[in-house]
Amino acid sequence: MNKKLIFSLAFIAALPAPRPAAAQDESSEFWSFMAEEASNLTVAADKPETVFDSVSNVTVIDRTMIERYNFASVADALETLPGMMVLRTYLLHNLPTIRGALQEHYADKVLVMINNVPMWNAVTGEGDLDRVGIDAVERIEVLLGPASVLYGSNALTGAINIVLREPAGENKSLGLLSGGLGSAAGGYGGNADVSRAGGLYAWKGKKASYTLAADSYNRAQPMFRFRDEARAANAVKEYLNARSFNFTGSRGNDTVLVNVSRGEQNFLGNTITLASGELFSQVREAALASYLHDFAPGWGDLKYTVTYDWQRRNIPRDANDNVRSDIEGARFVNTLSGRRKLGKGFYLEGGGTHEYRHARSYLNYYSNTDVPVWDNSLRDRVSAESSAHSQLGYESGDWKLLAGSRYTHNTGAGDNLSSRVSAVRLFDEGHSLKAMFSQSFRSPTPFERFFKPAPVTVVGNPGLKPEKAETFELSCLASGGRFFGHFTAYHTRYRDSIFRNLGNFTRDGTVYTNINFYANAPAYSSSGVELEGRYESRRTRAFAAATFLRGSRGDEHTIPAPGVFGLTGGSSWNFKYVPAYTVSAGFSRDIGNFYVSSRVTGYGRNRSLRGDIGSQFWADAGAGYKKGAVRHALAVRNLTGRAVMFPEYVRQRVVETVPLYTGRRLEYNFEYRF
Amino acid sequence: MKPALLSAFLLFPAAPAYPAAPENTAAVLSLDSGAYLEAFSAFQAAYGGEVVRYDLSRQKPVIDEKVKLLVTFGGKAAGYSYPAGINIIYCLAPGLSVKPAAREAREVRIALTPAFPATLAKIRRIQPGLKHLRILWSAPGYAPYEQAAMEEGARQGVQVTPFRLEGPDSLPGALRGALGEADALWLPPDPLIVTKENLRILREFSWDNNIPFYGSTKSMTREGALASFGISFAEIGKAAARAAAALDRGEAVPGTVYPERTELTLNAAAAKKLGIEFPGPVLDEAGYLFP
Repeated sequence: MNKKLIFSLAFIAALPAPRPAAAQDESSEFWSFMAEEASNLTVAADKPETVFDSVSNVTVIDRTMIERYNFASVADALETLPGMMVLRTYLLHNLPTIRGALQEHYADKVLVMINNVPMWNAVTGEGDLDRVGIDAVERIEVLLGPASVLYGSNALTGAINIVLREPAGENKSLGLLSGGLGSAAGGYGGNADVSRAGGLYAWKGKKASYTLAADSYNRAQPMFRFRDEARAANAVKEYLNARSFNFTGSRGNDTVLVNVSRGEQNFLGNTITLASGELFSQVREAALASYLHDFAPGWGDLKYTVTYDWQRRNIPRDANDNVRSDIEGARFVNTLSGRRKLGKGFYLEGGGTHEYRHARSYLNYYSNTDVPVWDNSLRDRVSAESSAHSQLGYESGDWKLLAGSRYTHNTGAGDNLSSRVSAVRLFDEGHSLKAMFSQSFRSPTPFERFFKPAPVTVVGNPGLKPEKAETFELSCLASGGRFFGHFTAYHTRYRDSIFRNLGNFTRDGTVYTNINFYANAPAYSSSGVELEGRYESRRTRAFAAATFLRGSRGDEHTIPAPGVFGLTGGSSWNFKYVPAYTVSAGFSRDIGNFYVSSRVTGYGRNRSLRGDIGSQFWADAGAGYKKGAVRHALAVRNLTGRAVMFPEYVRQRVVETVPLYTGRRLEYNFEYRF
Repeated sequence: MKPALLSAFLLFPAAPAYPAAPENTAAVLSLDSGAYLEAFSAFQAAYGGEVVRYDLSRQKPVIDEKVKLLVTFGGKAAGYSYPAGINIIYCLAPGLSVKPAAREAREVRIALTPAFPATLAKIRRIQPGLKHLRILWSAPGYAPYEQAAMEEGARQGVQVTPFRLEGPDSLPGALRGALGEADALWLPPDPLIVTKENLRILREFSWDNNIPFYGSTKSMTREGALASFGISFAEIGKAAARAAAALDRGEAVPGTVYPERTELTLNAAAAKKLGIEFPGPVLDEAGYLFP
């Protein structure tokens, strides 16, 4: 399956046409003729797929949906999808979470890409949803389920592809200026600070095109009274700012992508104490350059991609901002991939990837003098990962079949073989049934293997094995008229999951007691169903999504009592902290040049380490005015103003919950197109 | 047997046959059924003798050395590699991009639509106030006609803007871009964008925004185009027979042959939605009026 194409779909194109009451032979002959000629004109690799015939479980958020629901960021948009939650830990915001597979401070189980180019931190593994501003996004494509055969390591539970905007057709340009004000935005205490600012210019000719975009996004949560692990209470005001610059250009067979971003956010302390870094800015910086050459051979498709992805993260470690950690690393990736038609509906895809990873530093230093304090055992850790993959596919009018494997060798984490098998039965252009089996893996990051700070708070485990996931899915898609429905049932088995354990651990002959350390978990599993419905007419759009999942306790482990405040310990497992039910729904309607929209998200009853958490609901409402080149939008975020809480599932000591949203916010945005 | 195919068999034996050399002629069909077989049957009937035919979906054609003229039906057949020195007539290859320099012998393409000047004139009769016509296309075979279409538009006082779509999915975006810039759309029989789904999108866009869209086949009119000015598969076969006979006689044949008989079809429901009244002569001329 071609990477670029697996996501190539547009929801509107997925809706089938109403059929004539009595199609005549002459007409069906014409449509057969058109279909036959289209199949002849379109090489398989360039065929746009729809959600109906994709051999993966994919869904998409398009530009219209982004505008109608006033999504302020990629993370904001993602949380409307079934099977997807955007969570936070006490250290990091905006962690995309697929089918309840929790991630701790590093969102390294979901691959994040820009225009199909993967990006993640070479030291800690996390992708960053804030590397592209929402105004530069044409659509967001999401693949749910293991995807290592396609993308290699890190696509453990799924993949997110952020596609940049471009003009609608040849000899067209698109210019955009946007901005906004938000209540308490910016994190600097103002009440109506600039919440967004951006510009975009894109042009497309016959053989060349480019998109240039710069965005700034500031989000601040209203003040929130937070009680930390020392039971000290204080007013906390969390913010997240992101600035990004994106350029993509193509000429002939060559394509270049450049992404530069800088984000700042504060958090609830390194150890959930307000004396360990809260209020000070955690900085994430990144630069990515990628070049793709399409050889366009006569026999099929052959592409070479080279990517350099540099990332840096700087974290305050104490209440005085005296000591900070500087985390820096880079990845250098070479990929050759091709596809060839074999005749009679068969095709073969294959390729090889070599990735060089350099964890340059995780250095603690005095912020006022830059004097190093401790290297955390993570200085110049280098690893390499090589992989080869091959897939054999078959396409007929009614069936699409695909089977393939990827073999990976990692110099630090050994070998892995991941496979997939998919079968799609297309009943017609608007009805299909899919059965899929897919495996994936993730190599442990240098941080998870080698980290050793002073004083010791968490210890890496050099003996970690790659974590793996395998999923069986059955998916049914149907559309009729303006309605679209997608139902999926799945069963996932997780093996050797890498998680942050708590207990006694020995490394390099040193015994650490009651310490956080990384470990591979015993196997566990989850089963779930996802239901998505959409309605779309010229003036009205609506969606509803619901998920139910149930996870096993195979990874259950004991959490010792924290030894303070008379608190007890307990036991912990991944799905303890995942609500069984999640729902989201939205509605938007155009009324002349105006439009209104609203959406609601809810998580069912949930548990923390020692207690229960009631259902959590939050809703946004918005209204806009659009005429000609100008669009104005007003949105109220978290309409009720109630704090939305989620279990604290990483540290598991004293604090039971952390806030996803702390109160009501008001945002105004405008856009001018030229 | 399908009615259209039956018609072809019944009617074309009575059609005038052209002096031909069937023993030196062969036909290659992408598929030995449907539109391809209908056009071939009409071709054979008009050509005046039994012509050897190959079904490319079942076998590779083994072209006899005595064959001097090949008639292909379908894009797959057109794209097949044939011996040099054989004249070729391409039928039913809507996205075909012919490279004349690549062959020594004559190559003739039978158009799937009437010549654009005639199409534009017909559209103007239905919509006299037409100022801006946007042509939506995608297949490479249509690229060479862009300039000529714009020039013809200038001759007839209409600003014609060919707009290339990257694929079926890009239609909604292209339509958004047409708002305020076009007062009619024309869709040639381009397989890369002519799908039922796209016609539904076009129909809704057209009716909601009062921008008529014109098709190029009867089936497009059935799906909501205000009108189509097209050519039947059988007529394409007949035109191929005329061209083949001319080549046999060594006469000059243009690179693109436009079939003589065209068919105008109208959609009354679309006209009502768009507030357009078909002129009487147009109604009289129409081969079919969908209610």
